[in-house]
Amino acid sequence: MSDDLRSVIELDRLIHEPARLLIVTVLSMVESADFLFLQRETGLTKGNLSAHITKLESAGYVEITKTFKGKLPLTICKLTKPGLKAFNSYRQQLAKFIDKTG
Amino acid sequence: MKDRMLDIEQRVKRYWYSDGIVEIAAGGVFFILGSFFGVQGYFGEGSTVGWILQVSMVVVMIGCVFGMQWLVNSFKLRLTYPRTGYAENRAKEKESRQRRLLIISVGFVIIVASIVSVGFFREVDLMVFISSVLVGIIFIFLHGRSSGLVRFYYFGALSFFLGIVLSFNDLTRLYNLGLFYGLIGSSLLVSGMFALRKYLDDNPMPLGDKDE
Repeated sequence: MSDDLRSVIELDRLIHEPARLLIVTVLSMVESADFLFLQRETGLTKGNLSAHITKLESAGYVEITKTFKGKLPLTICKLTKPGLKAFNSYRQQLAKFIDKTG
Repeated sequence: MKDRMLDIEQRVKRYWYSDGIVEIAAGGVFFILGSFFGVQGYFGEGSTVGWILQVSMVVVMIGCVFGMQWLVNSFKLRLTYPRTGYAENRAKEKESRQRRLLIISVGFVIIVASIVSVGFFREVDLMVFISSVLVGIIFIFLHGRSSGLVRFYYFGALSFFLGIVLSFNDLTRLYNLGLFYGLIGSSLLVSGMFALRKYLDDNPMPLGDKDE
């Protein structure tokens, strides 16, 4: 088996989990997004989304800020630089693997 | 999985336009601009009222741009964010700079071509023609291509069509400009209102706490 194929083992498992992959993908497309936007785009429940975001925050991939827009309270989530780097690297590794096996 | 990722990417880009608020605000600005040209045309370019309108137009337009920004933010804060959430678009500086440069270059080539061709078509209202081309390019390249929304391509086509029709008619330049901006503004307003109506129907205000 070639090294390119073996590289799939090194995929970032924190991002590889489908729910977290969805969250990170949505966040990679925006500068920042609030909890409601993420919930609607990913289709996850509040509790599930909250748990996954906490894991991503602990890994330093996501930054969470509680703020107000006018009188509206918002929980803003933003992909950090290491988070974006990890996501891009994950996509490249996965694309390479699909190319070799597809 | 790849398809779903692409779908999310496009949906996020379209999100800004989904509620029609931007179109309504832009339509309002175009309509005001059209009204200004129309009234100016009615009083005549050389008249005192025409002169006052010409001078005040710059101030009104600057006010409109800031007013539009304020209006869009205020309405999104009341209508959009509590319903479907808040998202700020990522600024892809390098890419957008290249795209802007390309659009400016294309616009410049079209303007030069228009000026050269006016020698062959002396009866053409060049001002209306150039305006329609520039507005059409903005609709198609800045809004249509970036968001993938088909309605912006229709606006672009409408702009080109109006530009051609109005360039060759017998009305004065100010009436032509008034008609052009007025019609574009009206179509934006109507389209924006339909989009807003659909958005509000599809996304009722959630009950209970919005935020986690």
